[in-house]
Amino acid sequence: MTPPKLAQLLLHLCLPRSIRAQVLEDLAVGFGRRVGRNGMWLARRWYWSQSVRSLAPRVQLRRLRDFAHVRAAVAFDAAYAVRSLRRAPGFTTTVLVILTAGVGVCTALVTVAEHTILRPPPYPEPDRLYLLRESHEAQGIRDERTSPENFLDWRARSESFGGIASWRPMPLIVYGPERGEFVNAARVTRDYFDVLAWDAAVGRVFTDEDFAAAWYDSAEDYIGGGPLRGVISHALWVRQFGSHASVLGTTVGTELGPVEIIGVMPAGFRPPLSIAEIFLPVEFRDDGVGRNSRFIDVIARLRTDRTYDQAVAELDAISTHLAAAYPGPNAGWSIRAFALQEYEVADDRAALAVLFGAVGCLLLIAALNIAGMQLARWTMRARETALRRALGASRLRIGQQLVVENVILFALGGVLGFFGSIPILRVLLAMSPQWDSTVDRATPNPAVFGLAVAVIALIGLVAALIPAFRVSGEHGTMAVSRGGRWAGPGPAVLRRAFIVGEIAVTLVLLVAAGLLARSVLEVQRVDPGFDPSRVAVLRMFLDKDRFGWSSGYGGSPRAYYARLTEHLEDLPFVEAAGGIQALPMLPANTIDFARPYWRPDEIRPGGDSRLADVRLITPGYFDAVGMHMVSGREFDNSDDPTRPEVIIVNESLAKSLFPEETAVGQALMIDYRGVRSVQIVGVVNDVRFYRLSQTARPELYLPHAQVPYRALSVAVRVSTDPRRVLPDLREAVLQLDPLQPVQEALTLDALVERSEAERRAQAWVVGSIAAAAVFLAGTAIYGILAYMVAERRRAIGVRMALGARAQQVGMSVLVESVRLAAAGAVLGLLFCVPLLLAVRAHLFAISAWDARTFATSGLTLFVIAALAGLIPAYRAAQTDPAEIMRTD
Amino acid sequence: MTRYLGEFEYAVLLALLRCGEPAAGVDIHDEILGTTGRDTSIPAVYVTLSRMAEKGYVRVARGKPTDERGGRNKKRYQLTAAGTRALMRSRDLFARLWEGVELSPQRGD
Repeated sequence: MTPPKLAQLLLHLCLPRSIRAQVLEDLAVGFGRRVGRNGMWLARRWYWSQSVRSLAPRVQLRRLRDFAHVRAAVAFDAAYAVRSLRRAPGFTTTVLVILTAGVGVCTALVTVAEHTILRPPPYPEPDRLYLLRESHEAQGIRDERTSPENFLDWRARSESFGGIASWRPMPLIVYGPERGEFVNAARVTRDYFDVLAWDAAVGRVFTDEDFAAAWYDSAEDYIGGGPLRGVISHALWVRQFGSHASVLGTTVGTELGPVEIIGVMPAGFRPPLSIAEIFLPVEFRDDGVGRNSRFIDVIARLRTDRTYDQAVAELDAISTHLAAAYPGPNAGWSIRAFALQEYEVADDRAALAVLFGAVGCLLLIAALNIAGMQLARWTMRARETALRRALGASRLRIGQQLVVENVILFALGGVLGFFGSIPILRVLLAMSPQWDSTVDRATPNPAVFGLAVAVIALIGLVAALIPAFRVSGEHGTMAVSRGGRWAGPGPAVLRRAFIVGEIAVTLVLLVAAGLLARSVLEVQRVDPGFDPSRVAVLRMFLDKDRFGWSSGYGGSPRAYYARLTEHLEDLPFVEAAGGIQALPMLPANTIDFARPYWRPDEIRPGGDSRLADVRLITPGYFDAVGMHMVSGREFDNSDDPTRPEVIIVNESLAKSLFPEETAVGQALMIDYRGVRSVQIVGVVNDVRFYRLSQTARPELYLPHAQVPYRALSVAVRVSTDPRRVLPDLREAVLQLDPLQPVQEALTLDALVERSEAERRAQAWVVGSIAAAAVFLAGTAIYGILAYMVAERRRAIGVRMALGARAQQVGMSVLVESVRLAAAGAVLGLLFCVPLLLAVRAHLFAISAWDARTFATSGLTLFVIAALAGLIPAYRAAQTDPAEIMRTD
Repeated sequence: MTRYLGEFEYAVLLALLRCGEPAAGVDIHDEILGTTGRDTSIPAVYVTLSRMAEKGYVRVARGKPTDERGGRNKKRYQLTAAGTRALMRSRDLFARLWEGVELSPQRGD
């Protein structure tokens, strides 16, 4: 017959202490009376009702106290806290620096993440948008564009998607008053703007009638029937047309012919995975270049009454049908739907994950560091605390003062950290090119910095409360008599634990930084197979109208490029020049030019099981980029359309196809623009074409004269710094033909660097964080050793008086330091396991368990520990025993 | 400055008076409940008693131990002279305000 226990607990927690005992007792009495009168159930109900209502008195009692009294107390505490912080400038400055750095970095990183990973694409219901790509499991292709014919089939057969549209980027030459300029354009199909659910801000987007005068992309034919209509971006409107509404109806001259502007997109519109500023309508035909030409992007919007799984099942059925109907190009290929939201940020996510991990470690270290310092500080103030206790201050009062001081400290640190994150943000943005699309104007996120401060503050506060709490307890007076320092084992053990934790996390950071740095070095040591120094690259995209397939104006692309390379080689500083249809290291490289090849005595390999990359080059290309022939000869002017078709293969292909014999002189079958038989006239060395970290693939080089192509990149080897001559090269091209500009001019060095820029940035950031961690750990070790030495002065003095030598005393301090480092290292090894699993994917040519990196990191820790211990060891060794005996 | 009792203070003091000898919170609570039907919370009673103890209207008196409280000698409250005067002041205040006032439920519509 006892009252409900849970209710009793609630009362115990909620009642003010002054009336708690009395109330509990009375309630028990009342409960007993009611059990007798009304029965158990009603009595329990009454008890619960009383318990719930007991929440009120706490608030009431507080109102009893004079609020002004509380306010005065807080104001006093604040002033006291400021004085006390100013009296300990070392402590205060250090904590503020740590807070600024830790909070600043964390806030900056999360801000970047917000604008890249976490930013939703600017389309209505973006979670219903999917990128449709093709994959081929047997070949390890996971994410490839598709061909126009396949796209047409998908669009016709799919019912799960409300709209399927495609786009393809192209650089477009727009004719200005005196010369041509490149503008990024995109050729889009009918439903493009519907699928994205955006309408024009000025004018309109495409309607069906606009596609009557569209292009048939595959066959490069223009249907005719009126000028092309175009929709432009907001940025282009502002830049070229002064934001005038009169842009509607204006006609712009382009290489495709006149284009009439019919609409301007709003400023917030951003085409997916594209930087196009002008959109042109395109239609596809069923009998175009062949389903093997995979070069268009497809986006689709899932219907609201269908699920993702339903759509995937349907796509599987479609791809099965296509593989059966067209086994040559489609066997083995399947369709994959990528959520647009995730696709856009997939690369960023991987990179940022590593950074987040590192920053998390830094925050942890910062928190531990501050906690240790708090512990030390409040332990030292044991005497002061005990005195106040003795004079009548309640624990609550002392705790209040401690909280106020910490609030001031962390608030200040937080504000500094917030402002500190701005320059850090700038630095981060400068380092990683792919992030800066819209992140330029990013400002630090207040919520994040609040969180970071809160985390550190919480840990720091707890660390300060522990010694204060213990000291203000019964042992308070004993602390006073012990000379002001808390001599118990508690805080020291705790502080050591913090430091060991810090060292462990530091080891993890050091290992991570070491591995990433080694990866960068390894990548740089890779021989790409070509010599990128002193090579300028001119990306050309010939005007379609004037350099079409049929010889029109000055001839075809073959004539133009022949003249261009000749013209360039005439320049005094040019050593060699040659064109290729796809530059190494260029991020836009697709495997669109992957084609099957086989020996004449073999059956053609099924599907796409054996592919080589086709490269179209002009003579002089190998010289320009520093490749060399292994056997046979290069292309020369004799390889023209009237002669038999020739080919140069790279070493890998030669060795795999002709292991026992020389490849030169052999015949080869390839399927590029039709099946053809070619003769191998030379073997060239392998190159790392896509990334330094990716090994060479089999390559087929065809002479441009026999297989012309409109968009070549001309590599120019120069005798001086290529960056300085880029303007001259641009001018030279325009001299040849004022209406044919260079699309982009850069150096090959820059391209190679760009391809590994992210890896370098990552290593740099993690390295900096590791350096900061080492610094913090070192100061922490120094701090505790200095404290220890100061505390044990007497004991040391006695030891020395009893005969211990100065060196011995000093060594014992150093030993202590090394012991801390060792404990931390062992713990750190444990922490390394999850780290290494995470970092593995980002490494190159180095194992995650690389012994050298571990050894170096461990050694660094020990060195730092030893250095940190030097001064305290010296001070300990300098102790004068006589003086100790005198003063104590 | 003449101080008047708050509404709940008035009720608690009156109930204490009715209880007679020194009473505990639960007794006051039961007195109010039994006489008026108003269900108060015991903690609220105690808060009020604390407040009035500060003002000097009640004093703590140790009552005789009873079996109900497990034989322990616990805190009871008793009205002081100041408390009695405060009660009279409040009674007079309301009595004078009520003089000559006719009240029916429909009044005020």
